[in-house]
Formats: sequence, C-alpha cells, structure tokens
Amino acid sequence: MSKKYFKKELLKIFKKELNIKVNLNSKMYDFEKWDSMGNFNILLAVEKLFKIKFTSREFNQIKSFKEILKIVEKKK
Amino acid sequence: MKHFITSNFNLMHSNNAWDTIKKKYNSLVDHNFNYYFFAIKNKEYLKKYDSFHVFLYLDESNLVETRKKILFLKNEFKKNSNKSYFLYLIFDPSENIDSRNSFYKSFSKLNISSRTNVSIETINNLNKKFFNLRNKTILSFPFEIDAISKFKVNIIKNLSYLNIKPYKLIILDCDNTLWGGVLDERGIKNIDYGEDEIGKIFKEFQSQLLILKKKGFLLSLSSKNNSEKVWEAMRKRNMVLSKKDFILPKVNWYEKYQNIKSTLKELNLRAEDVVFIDDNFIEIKKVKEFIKKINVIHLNEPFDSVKKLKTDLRFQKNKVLKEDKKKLHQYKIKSKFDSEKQKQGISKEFFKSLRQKTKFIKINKSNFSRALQIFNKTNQFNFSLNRYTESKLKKIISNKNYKLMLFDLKDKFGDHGIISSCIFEKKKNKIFITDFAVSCRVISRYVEDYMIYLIINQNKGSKYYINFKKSNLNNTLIPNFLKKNFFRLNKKFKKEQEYEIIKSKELTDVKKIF
Repeated sequence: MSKKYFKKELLKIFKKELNIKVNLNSKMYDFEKWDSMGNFNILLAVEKLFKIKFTSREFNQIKSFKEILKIVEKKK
Repeated sequence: MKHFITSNFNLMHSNNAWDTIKKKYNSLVDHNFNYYFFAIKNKEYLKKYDSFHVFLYLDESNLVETRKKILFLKNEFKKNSNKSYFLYLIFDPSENIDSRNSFYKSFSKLNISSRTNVSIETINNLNKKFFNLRNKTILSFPFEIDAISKFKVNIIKNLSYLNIKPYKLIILDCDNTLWGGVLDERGIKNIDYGEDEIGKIFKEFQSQLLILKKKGFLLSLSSKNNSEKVWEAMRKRNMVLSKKDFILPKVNWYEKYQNIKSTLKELNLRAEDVVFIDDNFIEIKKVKEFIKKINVIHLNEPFDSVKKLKTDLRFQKNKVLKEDKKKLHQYKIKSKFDSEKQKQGISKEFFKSLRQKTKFIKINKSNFSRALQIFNKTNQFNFSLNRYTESKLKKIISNKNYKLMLFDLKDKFGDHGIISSCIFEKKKNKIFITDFAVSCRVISRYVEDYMIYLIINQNKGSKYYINFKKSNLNNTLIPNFLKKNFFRLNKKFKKEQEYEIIKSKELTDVKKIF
C-alpha cells in the first residue's frame, strides 16, 4: 500500500473523528478539537482501521500528522 | 425517559461510540465518576433521570474503596425506589474468584441486590484480549476500544426492560412444578424436594418464586390435588413457600381453566397480565384454549425451570412502587370483602357496614408516581385511557385551567391507599372531567358513585361533564356505570361521548352509604 493511500485514509479519519481538515504539516493543538483527548481518539481510530497497535511510548510521542503517517507506514 | 450513564473509568467518546445511546435512548454519558454520586444525591438531577447506570472496573487498587462508596448510597437507593439503578461490574482478570465473591457478599449482606430497583450484574465471558494495559495507563480506559460496544449491549438490554410490563400474577401447578413426583402417589415423605440433586432444583425454583413475590408479583396455585395434603407437604418438608404466600389458591379437582377464570375474576386481572406454569402439556393446552390471552410456561424439564424464570423479561421488575408492595395485602383485603359480600348479599346496608371512607387528596411529590401509575396502568375503569409521561402530567398540573385530584379509600378491612385519579378542565362555569381512572380492585361498591358525588359538590355553581373514550380495553364496566340516572348523554362523536352529570336523588343517596 502506498503512502498516498495512507494519507488519504488519515485525512478521512481526522474529518470523521474531529470534523477538521488537516494537511501534511498539521500538528496537535493547531485546531481546538485536536487536543490530547482528540489525539487519542485519532490514534484509536487509526489502530482500528489499519489493524495495528501503537506502543505506549508511541502513543505518548505522536503529536503530528507526519508522525502518524510515518509510523503507520512502518507498521503496515 | 432519560438515563444517566457513567463509570469509574474514562468512558471514551472515541469513534462517536456513544452517539446511538445518547440520541436514541435519550441518555447523558458522563465520564466523571463523582457526578454519579452527585446526581443520585441531588434532587434536581434525580428528577431529570429515570435510570442510573454505572460501570465499575474493579481491581486490587480500588475494590475496597469502590465497595464503600457504593454502599454509602444504600439509603439513596432505598429512598428513591421509583428510579432504577444498574451497576455493571467488570473485574480485572488478575482478580481471583475469592475477592469477587467477597465483593458480592458485602452487597448481599446489606441487602442491596434483593432490591428490585437495584440491579447488579457482572459483564462476563471476557478474555484477556478485552483488556488493554496501555489504554489503562494512558487513557484511564482499561479496555480495548471495542469494549464499548459490549457495554452498550448491556445498557440497551436493560433500557428495554424498563419498558416491559411485568406479570401481575403467577399461577402455579404443584406436582412436578413445585416439587418432583406426584404427591398423591408418592406421599409426603417421598416427593423430590430439598436434599438430593433433583430435589435441590425444586427448592431453588421455589426460592426464586419467593424473591418474585417479594418484588410484588402475586403467586397463586391451580393444582389437581387434595388441598390439606398440599399444605401439609409444604409444612412437613419445610418448603420455602407455604400457604400464606399464595393468594386465592385453588387446589381441587375441578378443571384448571375454570379455577383460573374465577381467580382472574376475583382479582379483577386481565389474562394478558397473568402467567400459568405447569409441567403437563395437556393442561397447558386446555387452559390456553379456554383463556386465549393467558401466558403459559411449560416446564418439560425441571433443570430448565429456574432458567425460564430468569430469561422471561416479564419476570423482571426494575422499579418498586410503595403501592406494589402493599398489593398482596390489598388483594387479600379484597378477597375478604368478596367473601363477605357473598355471605350477606348485596344491599346498601352491607356497603354501609363496610365503613368505607373516601376523600380527596391533593397531588404532591410523594403521590405523583402513584397518580402516573393509575393513569398508565388502569384499563377497565379508565374513561379516557390517556397515557401520560412524567413531564406531560407535570405540565397539566402546572396549568391553571386544569386540576388533578386523587382519592383514597379506607374500610373496616384496612387501608387501600390511593385508588383513583382524575383531571378536570375548567371552561368558564363548566367543568369537564377529562380523565377519570379508578383501580379495579374497588369497583362496584359505590365508591365510584361517591367520588362523582364529591366531585360535583366541589363547586356548586358549575355544571359538570365527563368524557368517555370507548375502546376494547374499557368497554364493560364504564358503559354499565354510565347507565345510572345521574348521567345524561350530551354529545357523541365517533367513539367519544360526553355526559352531563346531574344531581339526581340516586346520586345524593350514595352519600348515606359513606
């Protein structure tokens, strides 16, 4: 699966979970809804969709769109 | 109906997981556990919600404390018994059976779980994959995110219970139902009850029935047996149930459907609200043939008997009203009354001798739920059959043009409590009785006539009218009642009729009885 596909799906998740339109450079706290709680919701949705598991460490460290994309690519 | 849902962990709002519950079931999902205590103790919140649900995740670190906290609410549970409380326990897999048992025990000791409005259930069949340590430490949500769907199933199941009408009367057979074997053939000593494997099942079945009785279900018997022998067997074998637990038991050699028909008539119950339990399929078929609407349970396998009580939703009761608890007592008063009526014949002198006392009671907080219950539960003597929600009725009470009144009844046998509820609408000097419902237990003893008398004498300058909406639920008692000479048909529109109430001599004479 390509990076393009992951990116498209991730954008969909942000739209569905938090109803925000992010781009490749978006970070946590760029949007009011993307707070710590929002971040968790995104990560949980990502886990569910791609059937992967983040470690506790990753869960605490991931704070931007790029980071999510990177780890999804790595794990998939 | 509104519901309050919370937990002692973080109820994740991920993937819009709770949306269906929130919208479809009109619920508030709050992840602050402390609000549970706040809501239950705060009158404003209590008013708002009909049921309270809490998920408790229990592990070594919080078991003792949680138990303390919940038991602290015991009095609140008791005080507000018209609300339903659901506790869902989820034990951490590291918790051993002993600590689980001790947790349960501490509840049963304080008698919480036998209360009908408090239901404690464990979410079972969880494998290790259900739990997630990472989510626990980071999100304070100790489970996989999919667990939410399992929680939702539990809540939805219970919410649907809340709308189910429980049975009012359970009619039981004796042989091979309350004990194993035929009493007449085996004798008291040799029927299966208590000790051995199969006897234990019957004992457990009786215990379950006793619990149901405590929750307000009525128990009766319909058995082809010698009645003295049946009571003797219960006594000598030290059974959980005894003679005093049954109302109008019919232990004789008549056909069961005849016995059941007369029991229903004596108690003024509809067959839909009654369940008949027997092990004999032919008896079941016969009863069903003659009383079509009755519910039946066929106990073909004693091992299933307890399960059958637990799986039928109509044996569930998640609310207790004070009136429910008094019901057995009141039906007993009524059956005494009926036997006296038979002895003496019906004359006005007889009714006078009952020393009946009826009076107006104003609606207030403590009797509101009873008023609601009367409108929503009575069928046979309910003029409008209007059903009310709490908020709808409250609106009517607060409207100046309407007035809601209740009646109670006492007689020489005892206190019947609140037996009737009615709503008036004022239009200039006309007063319309839009709703009038009387509990069927007390019909046909001039109480309903006397209430009409009291109503029209409240305001002598006004003309009184009463509305009757006919349907198949109320088409026998009321049309008969309306034939009395103090009603005069005023208007008729399809199935709705409006009667003027006239101060006739017949009506004024009713006063002499009271």
